[in-house]
Amino acid sequence: MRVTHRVSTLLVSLTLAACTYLAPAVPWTGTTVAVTTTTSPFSATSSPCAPTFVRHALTHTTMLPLPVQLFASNGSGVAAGDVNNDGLTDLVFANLAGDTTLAMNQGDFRFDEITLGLPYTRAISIVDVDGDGHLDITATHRGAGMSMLHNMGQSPPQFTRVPITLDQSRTYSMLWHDFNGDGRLDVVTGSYDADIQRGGGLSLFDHQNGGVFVHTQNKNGTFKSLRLTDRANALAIAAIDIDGDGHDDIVVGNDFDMRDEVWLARQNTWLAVQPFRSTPHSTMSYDVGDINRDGQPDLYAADMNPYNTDVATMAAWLPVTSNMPQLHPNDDPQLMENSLLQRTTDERWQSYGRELAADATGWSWSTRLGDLDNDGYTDIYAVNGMIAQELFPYLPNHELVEENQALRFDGTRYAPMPAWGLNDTASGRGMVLSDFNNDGRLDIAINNLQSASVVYENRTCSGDALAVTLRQPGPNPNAVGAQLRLVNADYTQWQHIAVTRGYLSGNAPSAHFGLGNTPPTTLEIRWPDGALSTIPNPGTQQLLTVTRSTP
Amino acid sequence: MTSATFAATPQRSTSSLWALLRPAHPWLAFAITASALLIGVVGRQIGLPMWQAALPGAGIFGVAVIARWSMDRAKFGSLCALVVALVSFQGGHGIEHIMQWLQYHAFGYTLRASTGLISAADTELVHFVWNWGVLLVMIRLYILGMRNPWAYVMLFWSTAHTLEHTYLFVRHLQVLAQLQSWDQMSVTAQGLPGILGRDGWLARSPVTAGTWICTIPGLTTATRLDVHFWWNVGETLLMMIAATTHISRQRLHTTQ
Repeated sequence: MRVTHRVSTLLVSLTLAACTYLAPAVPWTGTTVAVTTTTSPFSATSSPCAPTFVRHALTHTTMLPLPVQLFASNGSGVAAGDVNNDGLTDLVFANLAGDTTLAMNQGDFRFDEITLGLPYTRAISIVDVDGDGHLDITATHRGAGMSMLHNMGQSPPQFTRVPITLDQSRTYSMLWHDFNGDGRLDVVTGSYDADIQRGGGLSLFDHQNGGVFVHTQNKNGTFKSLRLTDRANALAIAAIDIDGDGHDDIVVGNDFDMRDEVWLARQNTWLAVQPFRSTPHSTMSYDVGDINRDGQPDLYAADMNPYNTDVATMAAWLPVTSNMPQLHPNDDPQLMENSLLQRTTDERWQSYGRELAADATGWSWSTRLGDLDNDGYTDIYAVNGMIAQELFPYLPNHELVEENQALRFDGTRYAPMPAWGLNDTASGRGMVLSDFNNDGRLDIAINNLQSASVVYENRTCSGDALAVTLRQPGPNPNAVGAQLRLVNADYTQWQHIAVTRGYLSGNAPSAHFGLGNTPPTTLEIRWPDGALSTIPNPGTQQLLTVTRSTP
Repeated sequence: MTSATFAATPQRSTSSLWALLRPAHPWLAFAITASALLIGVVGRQIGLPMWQAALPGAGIFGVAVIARWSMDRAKFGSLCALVVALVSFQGGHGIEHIMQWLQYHAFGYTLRASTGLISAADTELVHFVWNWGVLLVMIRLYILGMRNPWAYVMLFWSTAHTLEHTYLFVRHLQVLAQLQSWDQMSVTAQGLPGILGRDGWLARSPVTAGTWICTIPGLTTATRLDVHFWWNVGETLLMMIAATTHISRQRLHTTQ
């Protein structure tokens, strides 16, 4: 009898453990604010659609002296944004080895490239820091802090370098966001201690400045800094509502065996928690999107994990992986694979990366979520590869050559899409998805290491789409941090207005919804301060600009 | 070789597997084991590596065991001696895997450090040779007459296990050859994923990617250490059940 009881208890426990469901989306509540809308139809494309992307090479090259050394090989990011307000999204390519390049979009995938006098840049974001209506350029630098090029609002655009004084002098990654809903943009910065140590060890000075900081912008444009931790190998930072309370929290992805960290937004403070059942081992990149169309965000975290396991690939990786540190397994959630994390009913986050076949994209760097074929499902694009004399002395040019991975989602699983022609073997680092010709399809820009940057024009024969930009009064005019839910008869899609996505890369402050052939019935907007707006029948095949009239 | 050999001696019962496995002279067995251990400890104290320290003791122990099995073979026949030897060897091998499992799950070792008691023996070659050896002995037992449902299950299990190690060994050699072509002589290419388990062929094959197959708990999600722990626990248990069933049937057969 006792044995029977024990067995039945064990079975019940195992059943309960297995029955962890995804948490449902929390309905938005808050004050409703009035908005006005304007629409602009997508431009008609001159080229016929085809099942592929078309490659356009740029001049900018992040070229390091040979042989490429470790951590210099981490490369630089790329950011998208309309710096001259001409309606075309421009690009800024960071450059670890030289000057940063502004690529002004002239239409038809022609870019005029000019250098900005901003050398040795790592992360890059195009963001209106001071709220004057013109997008500024902010960057982190190797071995230094953050800098900003203030957009003077002239045509052609002129920039002046202005100081950003933060209580952290060694920033690697950054994330701009309005965390407290006060209408001013804050910034989270993270250090990369491994690089600092390689450059001579962490001095007392570095110890006082390393780690992760939240810098809250004051009314006078200065920043008040709060240190969340004193150590980090922060390759990626994301803002996402982890606990479903309506406030975006901070997630920091650390390289190597240093665990990823999460801080929940609380009244005037931040609470460190560990909600992830598993994470990547070396988190390289974050992106936030809605994979399962349940109207709430999911977190995609990229790692180094070979996408095939043939003999040559295993042999190429083995000398590196066999020297990686391993932690005690019982309390370590880190697995060497991409995580596709979704919130479950027990307030934890479970990875479904392997179930959806999204767990391996090679030695991944910037990895982005986006509906590349406008079928209503969120696809994945990952750039990858590695060059380092110390890691791969046995490979030609010390380079692990991999094909960038385009994974198409059909609602059940991800599948590689070589037909799209995105499987470039250049060593990609920063990458951004954006619509460069306003045709409603997401194009791609990549900042490669040791080879020219490229822009991929999306010519796929796709479904409908809706692009949304937000305008609000005050110093955060692009409503960075706002969330959107696009509702139709069958499902709800979630997007947010984010200017930092992927690895060291910046995103244009707009949202793109692929629709397939299902028109949306409602667009719900949650503004950064928590106010709500609802737009019925937002339409398709157009850019919808929503302007909030009152603060 | 006949089945009657199991009941041939009046001095020692063959009514169970344990009767065959237990020491004929417990105190002598204790003395041999203790002296083997003592020599090993002294060897370690004077700075010998583990395998060198263990070698004399293993020799003493091995001579005693072989002497015992020789006597058993003379008394009970080849099948009996082979069963006892197989269960003993596989039991010892199983202890290595249990130790690895404990090191990883209970003692907090990393996967890389969880190599059992004799870490030098935790190589693809050893596992490959061992499993083929076990399978061949099982086939020999089958030919000699050990045939019962558990023996068939055991044979199937052991064949599958051996196939996995064959796959592992072939991959090991291929990867090693590739590494050597790059002058990467210090990388051992041990511990690669096999057919089952996390990152194994079943979990990472393009055919199964994204299907329920690649997330079957344990089968396509467990670490290699766990996968081979269960392979060996299963094999040892099946071996003991098959042997016990065979022995009890033979006793029944000969007493009727």
